[in-house]
Amino acid sequence: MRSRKRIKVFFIIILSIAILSIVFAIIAPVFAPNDPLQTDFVHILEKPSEKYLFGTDQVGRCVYSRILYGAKVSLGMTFLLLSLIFIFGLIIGIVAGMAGGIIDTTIMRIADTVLSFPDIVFAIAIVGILGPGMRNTILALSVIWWTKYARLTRVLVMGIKNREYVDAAVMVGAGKLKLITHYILPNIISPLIVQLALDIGGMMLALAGLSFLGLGVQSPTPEWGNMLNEGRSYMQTAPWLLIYPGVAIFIVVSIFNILGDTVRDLLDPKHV
Amino acid sequence: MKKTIAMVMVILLCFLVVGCGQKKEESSNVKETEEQTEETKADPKVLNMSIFWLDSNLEPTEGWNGWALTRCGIGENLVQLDENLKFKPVIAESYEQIDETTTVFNIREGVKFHNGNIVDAAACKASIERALEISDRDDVKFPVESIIAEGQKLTIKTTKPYATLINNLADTVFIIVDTSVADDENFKFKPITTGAFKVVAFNPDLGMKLEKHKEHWSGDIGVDVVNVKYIQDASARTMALQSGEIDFAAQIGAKDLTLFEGNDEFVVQKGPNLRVFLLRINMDKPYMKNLEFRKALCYGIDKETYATQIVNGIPAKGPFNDMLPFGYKGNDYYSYDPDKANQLLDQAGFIDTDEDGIREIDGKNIVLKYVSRTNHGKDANNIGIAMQSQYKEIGLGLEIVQVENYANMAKNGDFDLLWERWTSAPTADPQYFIESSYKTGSTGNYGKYSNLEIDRVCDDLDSSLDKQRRDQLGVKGADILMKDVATLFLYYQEGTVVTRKNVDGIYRFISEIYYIDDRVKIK
Amino acid sequence: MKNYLFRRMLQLMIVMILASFLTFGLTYISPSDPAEMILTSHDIVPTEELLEQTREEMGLNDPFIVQYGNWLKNLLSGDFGYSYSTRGPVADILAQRLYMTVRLALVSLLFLIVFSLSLGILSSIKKNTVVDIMIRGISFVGISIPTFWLGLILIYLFVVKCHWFKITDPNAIESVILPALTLSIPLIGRYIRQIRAAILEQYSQDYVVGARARGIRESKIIIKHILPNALMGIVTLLGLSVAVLLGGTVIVENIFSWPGLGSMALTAITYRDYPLLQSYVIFMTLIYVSINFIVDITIQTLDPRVSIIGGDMDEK
Repeated sequence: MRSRKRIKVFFIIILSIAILSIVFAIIAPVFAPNDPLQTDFVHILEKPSEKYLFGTDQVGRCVYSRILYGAKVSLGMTFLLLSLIFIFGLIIGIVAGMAGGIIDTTIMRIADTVLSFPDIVFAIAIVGILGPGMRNTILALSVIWWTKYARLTRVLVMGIKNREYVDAAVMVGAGKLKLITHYILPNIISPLIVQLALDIGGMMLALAGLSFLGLGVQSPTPEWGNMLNEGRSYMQTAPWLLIYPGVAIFIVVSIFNILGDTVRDLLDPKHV
Repeated sequence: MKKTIAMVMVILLCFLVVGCGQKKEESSNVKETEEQTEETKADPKVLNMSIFWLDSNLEPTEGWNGWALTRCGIGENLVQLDENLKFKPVIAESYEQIDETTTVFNIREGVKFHNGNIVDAAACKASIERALEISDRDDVKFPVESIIAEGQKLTIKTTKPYATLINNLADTVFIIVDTSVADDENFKFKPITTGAFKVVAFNPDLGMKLEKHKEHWSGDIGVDVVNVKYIQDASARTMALQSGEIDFAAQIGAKDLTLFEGNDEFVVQKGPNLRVFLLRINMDKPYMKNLEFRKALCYGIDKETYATQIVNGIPAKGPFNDMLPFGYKGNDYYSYDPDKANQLLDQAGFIDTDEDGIREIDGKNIVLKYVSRTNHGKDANNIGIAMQSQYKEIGLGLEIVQVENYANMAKNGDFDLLWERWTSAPTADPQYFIESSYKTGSTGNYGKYSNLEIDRVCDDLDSSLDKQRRDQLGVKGADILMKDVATLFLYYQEGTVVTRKNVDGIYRFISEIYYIDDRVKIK
Repeated sequence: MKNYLFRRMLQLMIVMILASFLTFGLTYISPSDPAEMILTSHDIVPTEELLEQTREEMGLNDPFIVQYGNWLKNLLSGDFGYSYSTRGPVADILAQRLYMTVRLALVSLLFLIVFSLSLGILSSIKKNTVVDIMIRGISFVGISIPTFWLGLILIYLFVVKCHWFKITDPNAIESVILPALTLSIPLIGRYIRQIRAAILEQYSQDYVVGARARGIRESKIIIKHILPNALMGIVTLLGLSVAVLLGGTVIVENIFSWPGLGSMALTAITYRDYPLLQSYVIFMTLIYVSINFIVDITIQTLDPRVSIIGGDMDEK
């Protein structure tokens, strides 16, 4: 069993890598040697070369630059989705937990029902019907996944709502808002962060998967799932269209999965 | 250690049990189907082929369902178009036009339906009348005065001179079927026709199993069993060819073709087919009304590169490719020349005044809207991307949208360039395409194109019966459309047929309505 | 128990009604016009009168609730309507496709059980050895690898290069292996961990420690104590993995050209074939909630103390 100290060190390392990858995604354009949308008809489906580090695609665009830009899109979408469901779930969960009674029951019934839908199937249906695109994909996944955080938050709030220090705070006349921000939130946040950290990798895969199916990010915007989708017809003649974006997804998802595990080990020690 | 081994053994055992159970079920399934397919010879000659499109049933009078029948050598017409687009008598041994409204067909002796029923003029009459009555394809129906059947002689009389009677009869809608069993519930899955192969099993998701028609009029067929596999995805067809699962595939992707060319195991046949891909111009837009502007659009795109590098095709000049008798054989009027395009735009007064790289009209950047439908696929998008960067060079913006509600946008004129895919002369006649797309006010004329000369050509086509005259009119019409840049004609598709070398007697039909027929053989 | 059963049944019904309502509602507010879709799918150029006439025929001019009522009534009587794109009855298409998807899902499930159980157990027995580390590595890769990428690579290696498997003949036994593997690998990765953790927890339980102290053979401990508990875990996991399996079928069927419900759904989306898409969602939801229902009941019956798999497993 790893000692806490070692976990901490490991956590710092992996967190730095994760942050680095995010920073890298944001400033990717600086590193990109070419315009990700610029076509070059002289170099169509060309092998990796000095000019095109990862080769070119079916209209002569630089795969390397597209992967760099794609990092921005992929990570951006994931974090947008995460913050949406986290904030929404948190608010609903706190409301349900604090209010109790009929409000609580109603909210939780809704959450339970949504949770009993097969998530990806529903997301596909929503995107399919409303029309493919980045916005609808994020919308579809948020509609389904907020419930997870709402439920978790509610359980946590219920758990501490009647603790002495909360009662004490109420006694000294703390307002509802102050109660929440000063007493409730700090005490429920860490399990939520654990859950969040554990979810990042999976969400990234789900988003990339939908783009791969042509439902998420639309071309010509570079995104990894979308690039794989475009490249799969050239699997045999231009394998670099398949290899590099796939490796990119794998690496980034791995980083966040490791981060998730480490965060859990750190904040939720009984799990180790 | 022992424990581990024991564990692994147990697991393996589980696996075996389940695996075997599965296999048993599988093999019993196979047996069942084999029993159904009557006696198979000791060593039947089997052809595995793929098709890229299959409808939910095989009823030839329904839409384009009959294409599966003609492609797999199941259905035959009185007269068909051969691989070079020439008329070829099939069930009719010969035919003759007696006068402007009367055509006589001599039905071949010895033609039998798959169920053994004899095909005579009466059977053909019944089949044609059935198609005329129930088909939803009004575009191929013709005005009948009378159809008379006497022995092997079939006389069709139209109410008015009808120039394209033979063309229409060659359409899959008029595949000759045995009407005496057409009411049968299974008919639309196992139609009784006259072709070299008959359907013994049909599954709209997987394909068909065919057996040779032992009494085919051409004699013994060189293949006993055909497994028709329905594979939509082009790269899946490529892989299936490579792995030996199929011996025949059509429409292989351009890049993948290089895997087969120069490989002794395969025979590659390729060449243009009848499909033309084009961008319809919306003439309602103020700048589009300007001929110089349209010319610049044409000068601004490198069709050659698009056709050869991005899609599997041949750069198009006009609506009809040069294999058609009315195809255009000269040079492109406005071939790629960005300097010329820039010059024309400058002269016409489309100037980039704010120096953002995009020319303006009335102070607004000119950004053209390029619209295609989602199921037009990647080619439409890739060409759009290519054009986007080339139009940037001549100071024009391009917005690429691929949408579902394409029809709506087309109808409302919500586009500058509209991606369209046409078999511009499905029955080897020019009128259909020119009239439906460019005649003033016609339904398919989404670009609101209006040109008196074209209208006149259409009127002339209406009244001309003579084939040569019609061809001339086709040439004239196409020429007007090209010169006037009514549309950006992008490329003709290149049809490809790849076969394993043990398969013989496969021809690449320009029309792509046929893949195999009675000539197919396994070496 | 009875009470619980009743409550769950009620919940199941509510979920189904809500699902049907949502599905229908989504189609209703969708930007495209079904009348136009049906006309264009028949290669008819939609004119205004024709559209109006078609709308009238299809009942699209009725108020929403009437349309929904009619639709639900038909659905309950087994009439799923007609597909826009193939023009055939949806029920026929569903029946064929359902068989293929169930086949794929069952084989995946088999892989899932066999591999996650065996590797999970092996990994826990050999805790902190090379074997354990390797298995954990595999499990980690399984979780992080995108299925769509994995599938393509498997095709390239085993179909194109090695010709070991077929892709064009979904009825052949060897055709199902690659797609099923692709579908199950992410789940296998996840469940190896869960099972390993669960078993390790059992190991530290008093009764196991006690049994060991009494000198009972290790294999006996495993078979008598550890395995039953691990199996319990598997049952719970099965229920939870159904959603992932069903969602995953769309991608896997797309990659392997597998003619199941998933690829049907994608085609339906491309053609805006709403009747088909609606039935897909309804069917998938029904399968999902029914399986979860059965699993819940099983767990309740087997072990009212409920699951050994805790923590982040409650959903997903």
